[in-house]
Amino acid sequence: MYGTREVRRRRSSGGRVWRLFKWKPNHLISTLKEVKDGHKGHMVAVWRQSEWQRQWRVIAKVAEDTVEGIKSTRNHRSCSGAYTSCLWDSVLTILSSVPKSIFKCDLHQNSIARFLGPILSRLRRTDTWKNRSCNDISYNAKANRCYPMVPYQQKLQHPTHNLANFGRQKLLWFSERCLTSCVIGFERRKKPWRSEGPQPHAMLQNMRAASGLADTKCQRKGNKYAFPFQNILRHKPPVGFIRPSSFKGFPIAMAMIDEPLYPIAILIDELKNEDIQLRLNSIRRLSTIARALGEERTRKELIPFLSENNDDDDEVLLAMAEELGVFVPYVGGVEYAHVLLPPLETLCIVEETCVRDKAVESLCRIGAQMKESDIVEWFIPLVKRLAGGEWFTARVSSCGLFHIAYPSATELLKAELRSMYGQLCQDDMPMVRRSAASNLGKFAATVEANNLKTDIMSIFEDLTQDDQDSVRLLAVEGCAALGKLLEPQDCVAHILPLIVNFSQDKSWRVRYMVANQLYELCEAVGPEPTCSDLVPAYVRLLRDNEAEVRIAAAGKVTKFCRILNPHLAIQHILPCVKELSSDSSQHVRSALASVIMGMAPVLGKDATIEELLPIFLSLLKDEFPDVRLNIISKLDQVNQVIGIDLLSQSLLPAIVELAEDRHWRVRLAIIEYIPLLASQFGVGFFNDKLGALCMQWLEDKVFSIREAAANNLKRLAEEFGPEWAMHNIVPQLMEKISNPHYLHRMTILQSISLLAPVLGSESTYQKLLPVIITASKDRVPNIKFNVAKVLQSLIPIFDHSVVEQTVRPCLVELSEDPDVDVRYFASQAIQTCDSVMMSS
Amino acid sequence: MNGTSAEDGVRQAPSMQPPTQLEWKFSQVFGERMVGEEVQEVDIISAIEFDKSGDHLATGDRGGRVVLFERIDARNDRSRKDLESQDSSLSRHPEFRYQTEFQSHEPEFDYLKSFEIEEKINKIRWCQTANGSLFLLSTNDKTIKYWKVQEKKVKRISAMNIDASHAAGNGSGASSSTSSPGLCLPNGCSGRTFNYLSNDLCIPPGGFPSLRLPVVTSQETSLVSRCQRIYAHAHDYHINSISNNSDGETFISADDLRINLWNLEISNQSFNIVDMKPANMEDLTEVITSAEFHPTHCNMLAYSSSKGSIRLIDLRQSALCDSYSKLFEEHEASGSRSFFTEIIASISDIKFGKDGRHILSRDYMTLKLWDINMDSGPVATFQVHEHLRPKLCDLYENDSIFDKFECCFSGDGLRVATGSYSNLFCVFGCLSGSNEATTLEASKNPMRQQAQNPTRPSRCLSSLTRAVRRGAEIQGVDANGNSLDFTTKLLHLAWHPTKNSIACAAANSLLLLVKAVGFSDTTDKAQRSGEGRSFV
Repeated sequence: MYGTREVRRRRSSGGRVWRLFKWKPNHLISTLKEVKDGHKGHMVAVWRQSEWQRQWRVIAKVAEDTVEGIKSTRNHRSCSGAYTSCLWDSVLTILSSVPKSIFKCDLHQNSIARFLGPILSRLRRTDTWKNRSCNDISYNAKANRCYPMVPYQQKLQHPTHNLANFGRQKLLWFSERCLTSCVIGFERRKKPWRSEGPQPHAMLQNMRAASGLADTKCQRKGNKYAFPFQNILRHKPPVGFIRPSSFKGFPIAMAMIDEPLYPIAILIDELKNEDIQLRLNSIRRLSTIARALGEERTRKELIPFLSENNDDDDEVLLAMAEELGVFVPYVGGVEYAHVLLPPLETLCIVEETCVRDKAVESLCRIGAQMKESDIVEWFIPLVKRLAGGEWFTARVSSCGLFHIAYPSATELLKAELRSMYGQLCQDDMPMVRRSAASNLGKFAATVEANNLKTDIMSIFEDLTQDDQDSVRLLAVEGCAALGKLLEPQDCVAHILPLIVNFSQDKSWRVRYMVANQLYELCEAVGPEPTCSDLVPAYVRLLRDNEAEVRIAAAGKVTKFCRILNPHLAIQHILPCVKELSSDSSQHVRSALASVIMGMAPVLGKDATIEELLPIFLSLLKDEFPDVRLNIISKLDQVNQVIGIDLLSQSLLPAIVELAEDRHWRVRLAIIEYIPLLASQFGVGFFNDKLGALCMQWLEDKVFSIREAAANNLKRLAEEFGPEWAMHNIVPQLMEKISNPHYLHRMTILQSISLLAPVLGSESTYQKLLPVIITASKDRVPNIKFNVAKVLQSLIPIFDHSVVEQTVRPCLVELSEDPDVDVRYFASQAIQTCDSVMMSS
Repeated sequence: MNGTSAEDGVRQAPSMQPPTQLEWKFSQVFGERMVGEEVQEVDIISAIEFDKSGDHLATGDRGGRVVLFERIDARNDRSRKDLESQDSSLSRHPEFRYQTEFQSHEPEFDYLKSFEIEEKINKIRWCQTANGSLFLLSTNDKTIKYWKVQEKKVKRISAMNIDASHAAGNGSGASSSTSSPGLCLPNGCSGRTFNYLSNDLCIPPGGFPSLRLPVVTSQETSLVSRCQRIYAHAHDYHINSISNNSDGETFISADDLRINLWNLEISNQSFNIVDMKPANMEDLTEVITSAEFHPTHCNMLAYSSSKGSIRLIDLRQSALCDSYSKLFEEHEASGSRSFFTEIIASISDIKFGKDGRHILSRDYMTLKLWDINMDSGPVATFQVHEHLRPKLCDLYENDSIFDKFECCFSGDGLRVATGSYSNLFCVFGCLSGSNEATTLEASKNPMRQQAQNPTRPSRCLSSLTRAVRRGAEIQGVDANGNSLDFTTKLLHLAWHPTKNSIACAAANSLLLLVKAVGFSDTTDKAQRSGEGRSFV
């Protein structure tokens, strides 16, 4: 944020760590920690720019150097075991911070393996490694590749677990050889493992002897055995090798599942893995599993299996609910869609709200595809079961399903469903009533007109009188939805009184909801009643005691006025707006300021000048910067109506004050609006009043402001044209390039690089290039490598002759700089030079 | 564990006792202390709460653990139980057994403010049970956690595709549904060639028959507790209470100066509804000591303060409820003010009655019953610690005066109870005509104390408030001549929501006491129906 100095140090330290601190383990550790932390933050950004490959090498280098360091430190006297283990942690954390995206690109997998391999093999040989259960990745020295072991026995506790996990799914795929190694782990049971067969430990001994791997260490960890196994499954078995299958009863995983099926087999097994991440991963790829099993077995086995799996963690259930929603093709199409209902039904009863919501969503999706007869046969019974469920969770979910079930039902069933919904609206649990209230609109839309007026309206009126605020406020939304469905006269007769009642509700939350929904409610009741009944209600809301309600109401002023005629607006609404502009709550004023400019086109020129202008002016003098900013941001709307001149007297002080505000975010916000202001004011006014400000920001204390200021110059140049920029901006930049502070000089460099494309090749060459060349002689390396970067970005603008005569010599000079980073960026720029030359 | 043996020690209460008198006997004890065993600080119980149905009981301790107990008799014949009248259920008083426990809070260190955050559980509140899982909120000084306790199947998986036991155990016979078991022979690689050996995975229309789904064989279940949400970083001061709203969606948490409103689903934001922090902390005169939602009205909540006042606020009125709708306060006679007046006026706990009409408050000396429709003064005042008045100086010296005793209503709202020192607690009848006042000891012989000192209901009538004052006079010296033990204090207790059973915490052990003889309920009802409001 504050220039590149910070980042630069991190970037260069990677390869050098060990060389720098060869004999100082203490320093090494602290530096590594720093590097590790630095990289973690930095890498994210870097990867986003898809430069990850280079970064990866740096990390690998760091890790490798560290391992190298650990070897040396062991010989070093001052080094204890604690140091070593600390170093390991550094390495492992660095490695585990590698994002999974790295494996998305097949091209680089091998190189990754090449980096990982040596590190891992070294790690494995050290003492500390042995104490850790991390045999997940095996390294094959001959092939210089690393392969995943197949871990399925237990969740590993160590960070290396992540290391192995991060790409395992991908690693599984990346090599045709990926299965040449595996770990056999099995639990030592309390009873003999296989009563008639040999005991596992004895078997391992046998096996070692048989496979010629006597020297391989068989590690016993707790009650687990781990056994590097790769040689057994190689093409050329060692002498005396006995095929695994001849060990009767010995578990040879590889033997039974074919290679291409292996990933799927793992996926299926991991449906029940201890590790939630693995289960989640499997569930996410349920479609793959279903395809592998085939439609019939999916229906008969997978779906019942999933139905039983309802006590899993919420994350897994959520993923399952989501997957099942799009599962229709995998069970054999729409005619079999009903088999998906049971698992989703169990998910509808789950305690966690988001899982239920997702399950309901999926059920709706499936229900929408199902045939009418199937709906009657399967879907409606499901809805009924849920609606009469013992737990409130089932009843909550059922409310969201009625609108799917209802249209397909027979008359008799329809009546039953309606009465059931009525029951749900009177449920003991407020949660159920809330769900019924919020789903009423959807359900009502499917109900026939005559039933709508009788059944649904009576249900709805009950809801509007609920003694729970939270239910009533959801009923407000229902007003709008129902209003649209009813005939206009019914709407006026039934809905309008409810809205008016709501607007006077005791609870501010309900009134807030009315204020928020006001526009929709007006749409629902139509223009006539709006004028007569809702205007007074709205005025009351604008004058509400509760600031929250006023904020919501103030935010709707413009929208509301648009549906009124200007006369009414001036008569009723404007007085309230005037009051609000001096409201005690800054948030109310701020909400008003963000919309009030939109009223100008509604009211017309005269009314705006007469009525609104004083309000604008008073808001522009508000003590709270947000209010002023909101006014300024919408300036264009008012400009179209009355022109800017009337406002300019007040605008200027407001802008200047904001420009010098203590909070940099306020300054940043006003900079963003400068191009807008400039276009409204025109060149003349801008040059007089605002030009100086724009230059002043270039020397702000905060980097973000300087950056925005540089960007602002570019946008101004675009607005007023290159000619203007040459006369007004460039000369000032020329002055400022000799600023004593290197960060400010860097800002100028940045501005130049941004301006250059706008100014065009000729003027850049004449005016800007000499300045850049001068800057390349700066004493601060940061400036120098920024010069290299700027030049690199400018290469496409210039003619070839210019590049060859001016730019390249300068870069060549920089590429011989003592500073490594300057050299690096210079060489990058030279490469660009070359490639441009080549292409032409 | 069986308490019937304790009956021997119970002597009949003197005949002067009115028929409404409850006789209490010991029922169960959990975490009983051995003779000579030292109480571990972390084991001391710091919160007790029954759930709404009374089927579960939760306790929290200073070590941050929450222990759940479940009612044994409730599960098998609940429906029949409901039919039974309360009288006949006397013989079948609720019994509990240990269900599960989990570590709710861990000690933490706030690096920014440089202080330690204790793991001690300050309050536990049960939430709505859903789908067979129990939900509860627990809080320490800073962080509230939402726990789910769920029965989960114990996973014992057989029939894996790539699994040791499967190949060996010949499928364990578990996956009989597999269409062609022949293909899954362990030795399949030797002879068989499959037509899908090609490297790219084109899936045949019938799928791969050799794949099988894992089968869970175990039918056992175990209780798993999982922290669903953590509501943290919203309190600058120590949280003293949490309370669920009747809408099932929100809850409040109160610290010394503020009350925040949370949505159970949303853990990253809360709304401040009461803020008592003065602009200048030197102007601070009053702190919030306890807060509770109304049991049925979702918009009403009450909070008590250290000055002895209870404020009722209406959430409908405004988003910030710094102004109260009703204030309940008893004005002490100005003459009797002393150094301790303000300290002992501080309310340590308030509870709403089930009907939502009454509020019970406990200050150091008394237990007060308020009617929310009458803000002129309490309906009844029960003296709990009157006998300690001469000793206030000592109590101040050893900080006992700041002990926060809890109070509770009985399920039917006819009685109230609160704790005291020496593991004693008092039960009062709160009906207008009742003069019941019992002092019990939280031990295997609960009536011992009472037998020694039959209560003499002392009443003084205040013509203004029509308030009743009664006292269960705990004598300063008990039967053995030992003076009151200020280290063994019974701070936490809870009354079963439907039965006459009290759970109380004596240091590290949880005791359940039940009403032993019960011809009283009918009398109570009769009294209530004929409420004549005739005060003696």
